[in-house]
Amino acid sequence: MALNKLLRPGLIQLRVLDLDKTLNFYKNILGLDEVCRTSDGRVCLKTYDEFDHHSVTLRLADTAGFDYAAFKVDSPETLEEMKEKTIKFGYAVDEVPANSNQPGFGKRYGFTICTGHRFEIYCDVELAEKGPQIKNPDIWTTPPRGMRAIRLDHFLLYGPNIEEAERFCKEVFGMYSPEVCNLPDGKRLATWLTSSNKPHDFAFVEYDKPGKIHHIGFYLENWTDVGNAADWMAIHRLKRDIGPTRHAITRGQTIYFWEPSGNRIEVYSGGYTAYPDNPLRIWDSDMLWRGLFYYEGEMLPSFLEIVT
Amino acid sequence: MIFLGDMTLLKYDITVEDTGETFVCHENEFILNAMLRRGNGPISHGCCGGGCGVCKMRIVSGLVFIEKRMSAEHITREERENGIALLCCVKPRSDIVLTRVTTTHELQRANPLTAINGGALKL
Ligand code: FES
Ligand SMILES: [Fe+2]
Repeated sequence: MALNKLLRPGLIQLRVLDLDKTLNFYKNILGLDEVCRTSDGRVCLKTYDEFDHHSVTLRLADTAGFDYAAFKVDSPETLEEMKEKTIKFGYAVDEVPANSNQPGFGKRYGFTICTGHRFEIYCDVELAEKGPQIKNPDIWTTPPRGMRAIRLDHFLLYGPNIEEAERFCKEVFGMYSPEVCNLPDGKRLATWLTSSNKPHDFAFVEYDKPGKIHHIGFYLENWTDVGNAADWMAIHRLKRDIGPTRHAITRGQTIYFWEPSGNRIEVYSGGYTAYPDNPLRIWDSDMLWRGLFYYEGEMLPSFLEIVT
Repeated sequence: MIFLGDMTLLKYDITVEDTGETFVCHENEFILNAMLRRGNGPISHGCCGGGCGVCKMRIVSGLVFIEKRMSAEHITREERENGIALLCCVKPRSDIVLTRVTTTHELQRANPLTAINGGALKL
């Protein structure tokens, strides 16, 4: 789907408070497959429909939240080019050697942006052993489990100075914003960014505390699967934040809930097709609730303020 | 087969000092779940996973069992020793009296979200 040289968010590492319970959620309820474990006890997972080695790594820690996200780019040339541009932009870049702390991944460059989040870029990653078929392919090899997550889709990050972060993503990553939300004084409250036709690869909300994550979004096939996900939440007594409902922003059909370590998860389907030449959609902050929860049209206090 | 239901479970009274409200919590139920189920108490939202810190309160009296790990970002060792806990991680082992404490969320009132949220998060 990528239009640009940055292909997609390919990997996210999350901190969890209870590895067994949380892993059980990701595997048996969300429906991811366990790919491998690292020597320091982290667990690598992927959806049934992803080709690359893994897309989610869970790390046991004494806090929940976001360690880092890594983005796949289209070539070694782009990788070096984006590294240089990042340094020029003013962020210090370090190098993570191939096949070190993320099995199957080639060399990664990492840096921390102004919002306090560590981003990484890479161009090489091994294909998963258990990926989708490619020769006269069936739609799956083993039946998708639980909520039947198709892919790691996007995430929403909270941190300071998202105007700079947005500029970084545009200037260095070559991304564009299909949609933004502004405060009455014209300052950005939220921005959605994509490198593809997806309405967002990730989004930012302005927040005084750095390095926070609001949610991680996984893609489902359709509205029926959003309902199926709601059934799984009810059966397993997962705490739901809101949904099933519809976003006017991105147009996704969605539910937000919390996994056992308190990281908010979104399961999401649909969404419009974004193009970089489409006009920017602008939300006033007093209309944000309608943008977020189109059916309810009203505020949900827990939604904006609770982060990990 | 005879179902004894929850008759075999011990039930405790949880009292919120600030409001005088009391609700029942079973021995195998997290206090926050009981609070949300009964619809009383000062907390109406939260991750229920020990990660977000919204359900932080002080246990003024009574015994609890800490069943789940509480995020170190929201509960320091010292707070823990002083009876401050995340209610979504603890189960009662006696009647309990609770009182409100300042949470990280209330400390963040200066951020722009508060303006559009109207400071309405019920904590
Ligand atoms: S509700 Fe999030 S820590 Fe208890
Ligand atoms: Fe989302």
